[in-house]
Amino acid sequence: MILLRGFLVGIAFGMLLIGSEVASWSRIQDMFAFADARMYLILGSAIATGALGYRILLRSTTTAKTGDSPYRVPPKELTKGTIIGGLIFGAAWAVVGTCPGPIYALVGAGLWPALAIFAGAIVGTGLYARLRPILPH
Amino acid sequence: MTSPLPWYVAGPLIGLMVPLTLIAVKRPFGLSSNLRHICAACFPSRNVPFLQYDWKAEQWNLAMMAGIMVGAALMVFVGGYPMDTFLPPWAYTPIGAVVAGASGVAIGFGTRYAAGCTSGHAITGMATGQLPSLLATVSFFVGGLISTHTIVPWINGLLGGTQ
Repeated sequence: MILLRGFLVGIAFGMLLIGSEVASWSRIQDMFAFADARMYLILGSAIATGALGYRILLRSTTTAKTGDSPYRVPPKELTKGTIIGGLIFGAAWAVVGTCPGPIYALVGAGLWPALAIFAGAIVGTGLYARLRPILPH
Repeated sequence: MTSPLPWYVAGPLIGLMVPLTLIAVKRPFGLSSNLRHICAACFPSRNVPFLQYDWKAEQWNLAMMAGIMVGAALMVFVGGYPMDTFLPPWAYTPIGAVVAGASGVAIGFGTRYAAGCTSGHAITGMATGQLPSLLATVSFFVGGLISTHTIVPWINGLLGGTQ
């Protein structure tokens, strides 16, 4: 059941990635060139809506017994990789216009170069896994 | 639907993925971890501890990835959404596909090193008030701006990126 629910949420998000055009290279180019406010408005309103939905979810599911919600997102760790990895990803995002979600969407949309990006992303992740012991964290 | 959703519809719907994913699978919304799950499932190596974990417990994430592919396919093959601006024109050339693949390597490496991508950090992390995610998101944009003013014009010019 959890797989089906994940799959269905994925279908909705896949449709959104295309319909919102956040998976579009030209939109990302415009974003980084500050040529169009659209991406910033989408990201800003997404964060605001996500924050509101998250607060409502936490409030409505906080149990008296634990004083917390089982839906609370665990804290993310801050490492040197947060910055260094972020810079590397961002640099490539501006080149080819895809972050991981859109990579999957463009593969599904049948754009063949997306397969090269997808394969590269798997290789890059494997490369990180290998180099992790010697990378600064 | 063949024209883009207005930002004030698209943004809030994307933001709803945060509570929706928590309700549906009780896990934080994030998509780059799938690349790690694929590596762990396909290339489990005893001397790579980072790939030694129970990826099967994260199959919901792979199911979500499959759903994204199907959802996008529905938009394009059923809905007829035009896709001509979704990848740079140069990506369709042999050299361009190599550049696209190399960009993919940096995307996979960078997102795992940063422990998250646009969905995990910029959306989920920011919406749940996490400082590391704010720093990650700022880093994404700084990295993007640096390449926008250095290698991007060069690549687009050399390979034919202007439309």
